[in-house]
Amino acid sequence: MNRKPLIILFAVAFSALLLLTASPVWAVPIDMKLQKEIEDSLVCQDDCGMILSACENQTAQYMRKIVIDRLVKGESKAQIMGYFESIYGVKVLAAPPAKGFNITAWVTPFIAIIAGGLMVYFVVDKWVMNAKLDKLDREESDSAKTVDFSEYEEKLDEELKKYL
Amino acid sequence: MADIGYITLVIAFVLSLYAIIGQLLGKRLENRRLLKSARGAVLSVAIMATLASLALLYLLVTSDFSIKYVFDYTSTDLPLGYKFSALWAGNAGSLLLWLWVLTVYTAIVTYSNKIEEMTSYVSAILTVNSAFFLLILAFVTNPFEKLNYTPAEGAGMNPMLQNFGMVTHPVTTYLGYVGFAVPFAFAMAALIVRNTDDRWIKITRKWTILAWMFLTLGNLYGAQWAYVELGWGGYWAWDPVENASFIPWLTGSAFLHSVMVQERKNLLKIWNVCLITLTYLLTLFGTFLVRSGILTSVHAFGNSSLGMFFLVFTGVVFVLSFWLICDRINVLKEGREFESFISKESSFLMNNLILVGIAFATFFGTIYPLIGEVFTGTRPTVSIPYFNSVNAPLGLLMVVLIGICPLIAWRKSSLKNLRENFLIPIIGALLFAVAAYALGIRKIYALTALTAVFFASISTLSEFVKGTRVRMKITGENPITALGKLMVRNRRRYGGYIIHMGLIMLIAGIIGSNAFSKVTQQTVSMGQSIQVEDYTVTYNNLAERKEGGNDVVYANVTINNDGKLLGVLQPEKVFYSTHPEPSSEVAILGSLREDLYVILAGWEKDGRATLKILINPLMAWMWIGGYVMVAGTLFALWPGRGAEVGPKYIRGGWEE
Repeated sequence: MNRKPLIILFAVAFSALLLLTASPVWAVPIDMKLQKEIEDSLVCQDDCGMILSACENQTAQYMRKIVIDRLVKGESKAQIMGYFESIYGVKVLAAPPAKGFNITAWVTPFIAIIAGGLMVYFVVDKWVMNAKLDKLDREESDSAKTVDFSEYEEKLDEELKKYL
Repeated sequence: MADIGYITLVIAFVLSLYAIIGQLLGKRLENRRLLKSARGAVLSVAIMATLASLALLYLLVTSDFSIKYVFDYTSTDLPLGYKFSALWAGNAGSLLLWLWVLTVYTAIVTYSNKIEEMTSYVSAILTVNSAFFLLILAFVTNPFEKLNYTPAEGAGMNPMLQNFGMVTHPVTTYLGYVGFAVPFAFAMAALIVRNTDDRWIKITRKWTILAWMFLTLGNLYGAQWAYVELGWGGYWAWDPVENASFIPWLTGSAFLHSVMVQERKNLLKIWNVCLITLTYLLTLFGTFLVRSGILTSVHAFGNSSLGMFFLVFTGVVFVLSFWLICDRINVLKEGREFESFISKESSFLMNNLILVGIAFATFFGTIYPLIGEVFTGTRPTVSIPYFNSVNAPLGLLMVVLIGICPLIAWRKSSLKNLRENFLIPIIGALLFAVAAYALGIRKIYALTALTAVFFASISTLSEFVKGTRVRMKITGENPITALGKLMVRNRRRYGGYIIHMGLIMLIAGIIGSNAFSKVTQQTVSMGQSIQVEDYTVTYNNLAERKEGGNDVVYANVTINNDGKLLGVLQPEKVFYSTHPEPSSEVAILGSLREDLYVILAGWEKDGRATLKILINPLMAWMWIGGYVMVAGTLFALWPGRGAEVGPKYIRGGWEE
């Protein structure tokens, strides 16, 4: 069996593969906006505490290369994020995923603000009511001072005389 | 010199203990001689702290590497300005700076003796803080610690700290942090002497506003430093340490608004005491975060036992202050009447709710990694996406409130009043939204936010216009004179409006740079161009130069717009002789419209360079807005006629 064509074919394919892998990734156009979005959602894993897009150290460069490589391969944001999560765990994500206990991270601030808002509402409502009651009291005491009761008093006296 | 520095710290510690005991005992026994002597001790502590700081500065400037601190943070080739700033580059030095500021503040408060019956307590409370810092400096982290040998050269300063922003940012932040200790001490003293009228608020108003202004500047300088030095195109990463200075800024802002309600209506007394206590505690908690290394941060001083000391001190202050508040709750009698839901008072309450809400959300997010770890076993990361998602809607509400507040009357707003005041800002904002949409702004969130910003701008500016027109009508003055006199004679009110305008500009910058930024990265050969929006960025060549002991590699880049040369930029990578990691020095071509931000990301042996280019719209407005806020604060604080004029009740109505 003549293996020459097969060897040539294999050599060409291997060379092409080498060329492809050796080509700088910048040569392949990728969605820069999506790359930034992904880098903004990941944290550099050398304990520097910076998000990937902000970090320039070696770990960040390594992670960035993986992002670019996978974007070149046509992977989606979810796939790339999932890959990093499978390697480093949830700490690689720049925000806790809204599932399980981590939901509390997302809802607690809003619950607290709504609770605070309700408290403010009830307190102000009470204060407004106090002001209204105070105003009514003042009006009542003012009207009490101005009403002429003499007519009623005379009637009351007359009625009482009937029974005495 | 190191011995002198250390001895002054130990003497100051002993004197501070004497000052605390002397003030409290002298007050209790009404012994004026003892009081006078204790106050002398307060002054001596300030002098000793000054001497210790000057001693460390001398050692830093003269590069005495036998001192560990000098060795750790400087080198002989470090420029003189940075040798000075090395005072706050490390843990011990920055605590010494804090102490210095605190002791000087304490001496000023003690000798100004504004409220005789409270001064001793105020001074004692502040001196307790000084004593804590002196204890740390003298016995835990001594800035004058000596090495067993004298190295020929120092380890050098972290390259990222070699920036003007890092000269000013820590100082202003500390001036703000420490400043909040003064109103806190007055609030506690008012509770101790059971005198809870609003005198302590009036006396400490300037202290509070100054502290707030310095914290504003501190945050602003920090953001500017991050923008030009960290080389990632952003300015705020919601890092735990950044949050540590942002949270007290928020509660401090809430306090500045809510005290106005107490001054005018005798309401919110308990809330105000709690708020200033919380603000002060948050400054201590922030220090704990920075010093403990408990959370990962690019800005932290690293792991140290100091965090535990700060945690314990914060805990003690928390327990004692809230015990005092609970114990004296009965003396905090306040008014209980609100005339209407629709009033300026209500809008201030809403403002407090939102500000404290953002503070809580930021605080909760900051400590959530610890909570998450306890309940799930793994420590989640809480960074930019979380804080932006949670705080952005609250920030938007805040902007709307900035617009609503000036338009609502005190006590009660009638429908007629609302219609008259809101009509123009609402119509203006709607027209703006339509125009912005027609011009191509399609992102709903950005459009809503910019509309809110526009609404707040019109309503704030309308206050200037209305006031000027009324004054022109009454006095017959020309518009400029009327506006000038209106503002000068109501500095407190119009200073506040200037601050609001600054904040609106700053928020516009945040919206612009977040919603409309563009980024591109390309590797190009010499002479090749990259087209980014309207800009043609041409890479000319790569070159190298020597700067002291550092090697600087830079790219020459020409920026053109429609064939017109806009400028030549030189983004750099600096390789330091004392640090292994190089740092990126970005090049920025800025305008009021946008910043063109160029980073030299890398290069190849054949001379090709990789350039990362960002367009950050409206960035300049962020910095301008920040400085307008500071200008407004200074305007409001400026002494003389008109400085204290604020709204006050008159019979049957409200006068402003």
